[in-house]
Amino acid sequence: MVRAGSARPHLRYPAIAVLAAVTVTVLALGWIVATDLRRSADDTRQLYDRFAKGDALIDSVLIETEEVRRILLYALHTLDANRQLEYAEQSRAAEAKVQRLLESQSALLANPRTRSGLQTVIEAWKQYVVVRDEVIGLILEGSLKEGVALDQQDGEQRFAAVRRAIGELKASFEADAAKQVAEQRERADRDLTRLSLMVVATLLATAIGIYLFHRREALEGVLRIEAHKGSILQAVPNPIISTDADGLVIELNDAAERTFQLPRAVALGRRIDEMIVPARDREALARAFFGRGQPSAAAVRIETIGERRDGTQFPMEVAGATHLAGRDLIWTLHVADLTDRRQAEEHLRRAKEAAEAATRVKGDFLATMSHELRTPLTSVVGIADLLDAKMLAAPERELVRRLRSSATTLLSLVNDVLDYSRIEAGLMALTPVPFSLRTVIEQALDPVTELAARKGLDLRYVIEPDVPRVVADQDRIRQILINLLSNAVKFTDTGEVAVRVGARTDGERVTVTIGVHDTGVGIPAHLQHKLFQRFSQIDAADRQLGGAGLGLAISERISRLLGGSITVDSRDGHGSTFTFTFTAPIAPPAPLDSPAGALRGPDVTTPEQPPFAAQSLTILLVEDNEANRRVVLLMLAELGLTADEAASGLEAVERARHRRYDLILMDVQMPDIDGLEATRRIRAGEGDLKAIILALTANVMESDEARCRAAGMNGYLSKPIRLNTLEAALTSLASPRS
Amino acid sequence: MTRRHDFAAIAVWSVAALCLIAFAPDANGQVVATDGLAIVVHRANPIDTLTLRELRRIFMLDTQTWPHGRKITVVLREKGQPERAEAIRLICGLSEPDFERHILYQTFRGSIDRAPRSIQSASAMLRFIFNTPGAIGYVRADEVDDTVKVLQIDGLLPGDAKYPLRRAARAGKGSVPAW
Repeated sequence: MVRAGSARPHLRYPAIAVLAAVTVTVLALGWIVATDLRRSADDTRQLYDRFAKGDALIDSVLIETEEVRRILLYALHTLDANRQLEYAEQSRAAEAKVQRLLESQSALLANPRTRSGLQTVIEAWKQYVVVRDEVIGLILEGSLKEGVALDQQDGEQRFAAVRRAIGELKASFEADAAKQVAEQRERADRDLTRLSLMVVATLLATAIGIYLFHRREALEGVLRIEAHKGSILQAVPNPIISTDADGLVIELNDAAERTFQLPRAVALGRRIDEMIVPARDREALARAFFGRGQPSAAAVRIETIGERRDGTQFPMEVAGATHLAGRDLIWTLHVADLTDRRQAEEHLRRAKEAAEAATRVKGDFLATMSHELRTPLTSVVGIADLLDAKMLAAPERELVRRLRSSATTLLSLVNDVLDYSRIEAGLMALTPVPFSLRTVIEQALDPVTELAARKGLDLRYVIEPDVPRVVADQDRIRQILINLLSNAVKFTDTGEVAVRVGARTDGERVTVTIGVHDTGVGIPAHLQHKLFQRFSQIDAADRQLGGAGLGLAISERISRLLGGSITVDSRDGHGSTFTFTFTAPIAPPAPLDSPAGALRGPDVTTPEQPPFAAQSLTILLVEDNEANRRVVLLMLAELGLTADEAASGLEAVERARHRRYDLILMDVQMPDIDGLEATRRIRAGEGDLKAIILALTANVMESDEARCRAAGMNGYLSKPIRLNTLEAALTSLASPRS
Repeated sequence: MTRRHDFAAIAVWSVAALCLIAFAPDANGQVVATDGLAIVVHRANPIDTLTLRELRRIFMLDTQTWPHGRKITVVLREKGQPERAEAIRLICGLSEPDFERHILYQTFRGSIDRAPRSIQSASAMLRFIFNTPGAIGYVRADEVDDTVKVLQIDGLLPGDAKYPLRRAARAGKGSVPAW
């Protein structure tokens, strides 16, 4: 960074030099002015002095000549020779003085203009002196009459001539003096003018010097800024190219030279589009930027291919901005090499693909795990159910119950873990369908009915009359309710567990509030915030009650997926109320819905035997695993039904071709052809088109369901198959067929 | 010692001065030169020499015009001065009163239109002569300067031995001539 101050010192010396030069010039001028003025004054004084002296001389000459004649006249007025001699001598002395004046001081009057005048005076004086001498002689000789006569004739005449000559001399001298004074004055004026001009010139020169100095300083500043800007331009790592309106290169930075291998000397003055892009892209580049008269308000930006001089190419982005330099339109093109960006994008794309692949693998793993865990559990739970239904002796019955309980717990755990994993992986998708909340509530109550009855709890639910049918994922809602209810029953020893359902309609949507209230142990306030964290139970002692502690965490997350929440209101020892809300669109009412608001009492008895037991249903069970096949057959037998068996997809297709089945329970994953393919073939005409085909699958992903439906199946049963689930499915299928 | 010495000094210097005056002419052999009466005229006057007779006629105003035509102006010392009487006696051979009567007579006769001019000193005499072209005067020979011209009388200059215009009684030692 260039500090302004650091650039000053080298400017200070010229400043001092200029100051010194100005000072010297001013002093010199002052000296010249003073000298000139003094000389001029001296000249004038001398001139006046000379004129005064000359004038005085002329005057004294005049006076002395007068004296000469006056004394002479005195001599005429006495008879005494001695007096006459005295006067004569005085006159002579005066004459001598005149002579001396005229001779010695003639230099004063000696100039071309006055010399002749002076000569005339001298001549006239000589003439007079001759007469005067004669007169003196006559006087001293005593010839006064002759003397007077001579004096009055020649004397006066010649003396007049002298006076005239002197007058002329004086006039001439004064004229000359006036002239010289005028000349001197003129010279002085000229000097003064010259001096004024010199002073003005000096001041002007100083002003110009200062101006130039400042201009140079300013120029240096500008140059420094320019150099600074230039270095900034050169320091920019990206190519920057400046062109005129037609694309002729004006300037380019080092980066541009490097990037395009384009030496400045080559580039300057040539069209940029002919140098940095392949031939096929030149037209596009030129069209994008050049040939327009007006600056464009926004930057123009195009992506194209750049070509170096050696022919190698790279993707680039050219951003051009215009500005007006004077009246010329200037383009500044900023080139960005997109190679890196493209590579980054490629990397990103690959990473995304990899991540997606990993996700798919994870999903596949989950599906596989689900299948692998549920398949043996299906057998275990199914067999336990069957054994439980048998009239066994008390010890065995107890063992079977424990087995069944453990298997159920294990199944629940597996389901929880899978659910939770699915939610965490973002793989849980919702399947909204229209349904009645009453149905869901009743279904959710079923699993806890037995336990509640055993503990002697009141189990009841209230549905407000204005609660409509909704479109939502009823399976998930049921799952949440089962979780809340089983918790409530689990932690309540006396009293009741009650469900209350309310709704608030808002246009086409409804917010459903389901409160599950119990009179159990309650939850201390300081522990309530832990409720919805995974793997947490309030009391380690409650482990005996089973569960992995995932239930509420899963429920809470699902409620959020449903656009709602679960909150708890509880006091230690005074029971708890869990409130589950969700929002959903309102579904059109179904005619079969039982009237809302009916209050049902606790239903602790097993459901009645469904009617289809008396009917004769033809069922084909397709299942490659024999144990599972056996379990399902036993379950069907429990319901009073029988079924044909098929151990593979092909066999199923074959059987379906020869016999008309009302229901086909189709395993999906089988060794030869899977259930989907078998279904497709059956639906394609190789078997009964009217059969209801239900998939038996451990892959309970929503995508699986979609695939099943796409293959022509009517629904699916999730493994492990439970007796009551199978029964419910058969019940729901039976009614439309009957 | 003072007063006696003063007198002695004055006496010595006086004797020395007198000796100088008395013996100086003798020393250069021109003893008589100081006694002559030099007749002087204007330097422009062409006349160089006069006979004593001609000189006397001029001073007696009998000759009144120079040969070249200019009127002659005789210049004497003033009346009462010894130099006037002495000069009249030497040149004209008359006493001063006789000379005055002669002049008066001539004036009344009308034979002269101008009387001799009277001058009060020797230097004035010289200056007068210097200023007056037709003038003729006299001074003691040792008073002459070059502002005037000294005329030969009878072919002799005042320093010459036979110069006529000198005092009859020879000037002895220590005597001062009274012109």
